[in-house]
Amino acid sequence: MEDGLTMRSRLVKAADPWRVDLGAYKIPLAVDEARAEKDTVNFLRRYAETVEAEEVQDQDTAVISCSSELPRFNRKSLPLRVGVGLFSKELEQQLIGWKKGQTGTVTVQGKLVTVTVESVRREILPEITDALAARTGNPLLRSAADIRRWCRGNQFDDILEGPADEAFSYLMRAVAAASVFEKDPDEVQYTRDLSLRQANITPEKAEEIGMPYEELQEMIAGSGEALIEMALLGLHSHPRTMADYEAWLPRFVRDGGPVDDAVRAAHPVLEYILEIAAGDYMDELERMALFRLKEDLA
Amino acid sequence: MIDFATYENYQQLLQQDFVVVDFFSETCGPCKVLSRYLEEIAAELPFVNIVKVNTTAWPKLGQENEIDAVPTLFFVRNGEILEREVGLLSRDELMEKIGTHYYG
Repeated sequence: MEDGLTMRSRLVKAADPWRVDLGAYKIPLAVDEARAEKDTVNFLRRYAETVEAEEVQDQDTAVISCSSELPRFNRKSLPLRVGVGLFSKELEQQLIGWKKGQTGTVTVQGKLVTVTVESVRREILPEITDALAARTGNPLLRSAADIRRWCRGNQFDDILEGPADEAFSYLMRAVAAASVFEKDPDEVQYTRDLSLRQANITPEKAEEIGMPYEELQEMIAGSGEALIEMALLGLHSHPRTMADYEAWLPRFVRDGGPVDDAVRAAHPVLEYILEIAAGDYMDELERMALFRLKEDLA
Repeated sequence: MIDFATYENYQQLLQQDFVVVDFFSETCGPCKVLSRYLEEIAAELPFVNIVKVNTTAWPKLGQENEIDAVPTLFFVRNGEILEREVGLLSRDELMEKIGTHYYG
């Protein structure tokens, strides 16, 4: 690299990762409908509107004051999610149907508890629509069907960890292979050398791994070149300049990790651009791979 | 409600009535699972405050709070740490701990 600041390789045409077939990585999934319903409610709650209500219903948030000879039941302005049972399932169940402002008694553990309902707030869950999908800001949720699939697929995240990892690697390679790049030979050489330096590969190590030394070297060098492809696919802005880097840095520090002056001084600018861009793009593809393995669940 | 801590606002966020602090890192699998539970709990119990601390972005917060592993949770009332919990809890265990500490 001559100046180390401007990236000269270019992305000519990016392949669409949504069009890559991941069918080979799918495994049969049987949905637990009760769990799916619960996960759907949990998802919708994040986008719920909250309104004041006049009467307590199951799942409302009621603020109560209570007094009793039971020490735990002497509270002022205590919020409860009715029906969840974190404070007292026995008390919460008896509040259902009470009006806002109402004072009365309930029996808990055989003792009388005097309760006043100070306020009631109720969630209005949104409908599952394409508009809600857009509101989430999640690039994987483009339609109502995507939201349903997302909620029904939560329960499979653990068992799909392995297949999704393999699907992700395939997706990454397939997108890069189907995209068109104009790569600057100096930059290619730079990233290949960089990868080999970082890996510090020796003939002894190759023997330990059980791979011919030249083949291992080529594989590691190729991973450096692949970083250029990932970076180009991830950023979609050209040419890459120091200004791009400076724009990325605050986000990287916030989301990804610390970059202090010593670290910056020790690494060439290009390397950071590549690491940052590739990291973002790969995260996105990783999420997509997992999501795509649940395509049949909507 | 979920707040993301910085070195500057961390102490202030802990002064709320009741707070669950989640020390996490971006690359930790169990942290992602716990994060999903916490998002659900924040929606289910809107009166519980959740503060997330990215230990990669804010290593000093991790060091000062003696975080050796992630995820680590603190249950805090008015700035006082009631309990530290290291490792992934199930959603039910997490709810139970919140219930215990929030309602006493």
